[in-house]
Amino acid sequence: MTLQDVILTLQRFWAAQDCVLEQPYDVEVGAGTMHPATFLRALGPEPWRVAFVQPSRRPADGRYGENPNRLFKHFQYQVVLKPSPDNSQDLYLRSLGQLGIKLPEHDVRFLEDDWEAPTLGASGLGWQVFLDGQEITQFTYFQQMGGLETKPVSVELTYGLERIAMFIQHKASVFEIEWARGITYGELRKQDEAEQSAYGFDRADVATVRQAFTSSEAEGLRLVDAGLILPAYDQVLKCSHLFNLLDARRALSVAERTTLMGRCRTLARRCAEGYVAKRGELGFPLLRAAGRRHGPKGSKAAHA
Amino acid sequence: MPDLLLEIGTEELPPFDIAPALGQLATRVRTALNDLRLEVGDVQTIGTPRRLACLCSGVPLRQPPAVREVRGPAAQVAFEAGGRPTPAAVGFARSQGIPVERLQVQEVAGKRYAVAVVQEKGHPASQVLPAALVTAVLGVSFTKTMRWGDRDIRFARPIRWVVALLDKIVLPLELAGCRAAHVTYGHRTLRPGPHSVSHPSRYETVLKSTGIIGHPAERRKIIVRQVTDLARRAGGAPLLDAHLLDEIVMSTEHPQALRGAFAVEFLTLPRPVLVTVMQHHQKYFAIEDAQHGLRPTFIAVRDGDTKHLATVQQGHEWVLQARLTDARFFFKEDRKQRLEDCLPRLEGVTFLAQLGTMAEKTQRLVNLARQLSTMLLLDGHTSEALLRAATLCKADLVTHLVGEFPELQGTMGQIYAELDGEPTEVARAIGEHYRPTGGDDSPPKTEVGALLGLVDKLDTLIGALGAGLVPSGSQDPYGLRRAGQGIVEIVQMLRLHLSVKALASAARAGYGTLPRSSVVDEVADFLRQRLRALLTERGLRYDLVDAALAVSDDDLLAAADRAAALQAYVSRRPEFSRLWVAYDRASRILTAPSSGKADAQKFESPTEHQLYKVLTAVSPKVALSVAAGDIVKAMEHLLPLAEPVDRLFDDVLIMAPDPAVRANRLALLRSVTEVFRLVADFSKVVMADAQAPAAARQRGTEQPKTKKT
Repeated sequence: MTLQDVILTLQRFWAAQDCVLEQPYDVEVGAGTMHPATFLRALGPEPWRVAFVQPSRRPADGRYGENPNRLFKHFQYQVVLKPSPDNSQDLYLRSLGQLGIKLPEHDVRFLEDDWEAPTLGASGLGWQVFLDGQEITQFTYFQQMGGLETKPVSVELTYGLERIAMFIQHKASVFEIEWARGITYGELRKQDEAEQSAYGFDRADVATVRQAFTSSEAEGLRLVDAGLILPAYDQVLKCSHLFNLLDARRALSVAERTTLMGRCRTLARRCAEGYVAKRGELGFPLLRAAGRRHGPKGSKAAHA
Repeated sequence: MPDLLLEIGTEELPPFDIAPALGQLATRVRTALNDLRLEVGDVQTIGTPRRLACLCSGVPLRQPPAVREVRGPAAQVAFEAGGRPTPAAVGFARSQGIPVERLQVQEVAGKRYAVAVVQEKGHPASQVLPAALVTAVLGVSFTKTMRWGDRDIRFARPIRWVVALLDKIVLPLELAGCRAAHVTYGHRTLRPGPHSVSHPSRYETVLKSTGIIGHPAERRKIIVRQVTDLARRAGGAPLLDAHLLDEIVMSTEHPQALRGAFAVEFLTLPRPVLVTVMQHHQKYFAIEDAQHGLRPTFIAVRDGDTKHLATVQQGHEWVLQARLTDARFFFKEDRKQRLEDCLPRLEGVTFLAQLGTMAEKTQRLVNLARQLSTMLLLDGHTSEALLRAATLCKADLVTHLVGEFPELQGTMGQIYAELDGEPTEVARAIGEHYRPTGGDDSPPKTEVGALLGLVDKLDTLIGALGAGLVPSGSQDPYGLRRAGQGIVEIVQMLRLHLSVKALASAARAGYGTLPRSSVVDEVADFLRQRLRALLTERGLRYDLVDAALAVSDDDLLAAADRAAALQAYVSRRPEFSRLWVAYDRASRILTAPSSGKADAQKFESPTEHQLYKVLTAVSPKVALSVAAGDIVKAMEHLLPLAEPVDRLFDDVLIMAPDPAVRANRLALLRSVTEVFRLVADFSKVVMADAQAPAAARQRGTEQPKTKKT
């Protein structure tokens, strides 16, 4: 199974579970959690089911394309189910079956893992899922987002696509993964890895990046005050990415690091509060959509 | 009598929450039954990552009837003179559900009250149990709890099913939206179910048949046996790390060990790196041969059966290979420079939350080490090693391997220092300065390591307490109590007579923005508390420890020595009692503070002269023995004072009418107590029995033992 077959299979599986197939977000993010389809939609009372691939940039994890397991940019397959259904784990395990992973032939373990994202004021409880000793998924019940308690609680499944493909294809290096028939991950991605690592570690102009952080933050605060929540949230994502870049560049003193993280979190919190208020003003549109999609019996009957 | 089964089916619980939760569940269920007057026989628990279960045998089908007497208003309030009930009586009777004429008048502790005697019928157990069991389960506490779906209740992980059976009857209860049924679920991959449980007595059989080994102790036995067997067949023995074993016991429902191998070339990596990768990160048992060398094999424990083990083994081998390749890459990268070259990058590493960088901390440690060297008059060689170790001890924090495996801090520093050709004692000191790292760990073994540990921990305590990060209750996120215990142990191990306050002041001065000055006393108090805890843990009497601490100021070693000597001497009862009585009588009469020495010219009786003579003779001897650290000897020197003190009290009136005589006698007794206090504060010692008759008499007036007062 190629990497793109893995994606196609997951898309079909989760579409059949009534997930909206969203598209990757077009602002740099470090994880699918930061996609507005996760971070913002997890807030408030509206039910939501979504799945999408999210390219995730982590400047500090880059290794110039030279380490078989480390990447500047990796690809997450992200699923959010809100409220978390009673059969979350079963659904997830069934999706592995769809990928040709026969569970009785392996060792699948849900190992305790508490998740926290301090720049987003977010936290959750759940597991890392291990397959024969390899971590392949992060499974999290969100408890807080942007400093707000989540109600209902969403469950987030984050598949590490490279890890899963390496497992299925028995590859020792991420760059040997077959992306499409006859084309490897390395052939597609290696140049980007090398150049982005060089940028993040060696070439990013610290003054410019720092200035960009300040501008984005100011823009974000201005927009959130104007009630433009989604544009403001884009600025949160930019701040978060610029922060990561400065961090990778080792340009942050300890005190500055704490300060910037705090500034990011403040903006994220204001967006979260603004989002919930705005959705309320709009009458929580997805509550109505849920009624339309699942009929009067509600979502439970549809997934039983 | 019927049996009761309660099984809470969950998603995978955190391994270290399970045993405590089972203990609580058993206690809470037993208490709930007792509160319902349901006398129960045996209560046992069964637990896996996906279920917490409780089995009770011999549960009565019905509560026994009971009579409850409830005291109401006073009789004169409840009834008019003619015996007519007042509105107060009517209201009280109604609240107890009985007619007002059934109220009785009873005398309680000499007063008359209206009393309701309520007959309670026994209800069927199946009727009263559900609510009580729900409360019992939801009251179990966990390290962390969570919400899920659109429910409000909290538990460690989501609850997915509930079995609640009283014999064959399903108890009508609901937990987190799960209605109790007689249906359980088996092992995820072996026989998931649903499976019916017809009766509590069938529960364990049903679990077995579905691939679940329910008792943690049984899983542990299986794991240890399989792991040991597999290791033996690989020509070695497993490193049965207790923490890892506990974790695996509580993260499997049907453990099955399997052996894998890794390439021999990885054995060139330092042993702690290999063990950490296998043990901490992959949850594998490492294997060593008879010479304690690691074998290129490992044992993983799968949750499942023996089918397709080769596939699982291959997967694990492949993951370990990748991990070790990473580790080797990091090791080679780290070796491209010397440990010393890492120092500038400590600028980028935070110490505790608001306490600056590790570079700043390193600078403070070097300065403090220099001051400690002077205080202790260390020889040049030791002092040099200590300064070098202080300079390098945090450098490994920025190495790749410690970045990847933070638990190897110190260990990697030692390894890299050795490879750099640093002196052995410097390398070892770096390696052990974090010790003790856990409750069962010991302090550093070498002198330089211990001194470095002392300096490091003291700097941490000053910074943390100064910033208000005081541990409370079970919360000690920065490990400050452990640091304190480490200091106390080091001081005793190296026998350092050291003014903690002097060293703490020096440590405080090292901080750029000074922590408030009271922090020095706070740290000294904190350390005294740690010493007290440590000594009482070792079996010393707390009152003797207090008696020792009270006179040792900030010299922890002196306090420890005094406490140990008191404990040894107190077993020689008669002598100790005599000392205690003498001190007790003398100190008790010294109510007002005063100063001045006794003037021999003003003595009026020979007993005064006698006591003065003895005092003058023993005082220097006591002081000398204390200075030499021989507290038992000091107590022996005190002994001759006992008799003249007693005689003085018997022969003369201390509180003589003539103020000058009185003041002189008090001054004499004060000098006596001062000599005693060179050894210990005897007033802190609790004398339990009549061995001290005079004291017992005096105490009798202050602390009456009879209750009726």
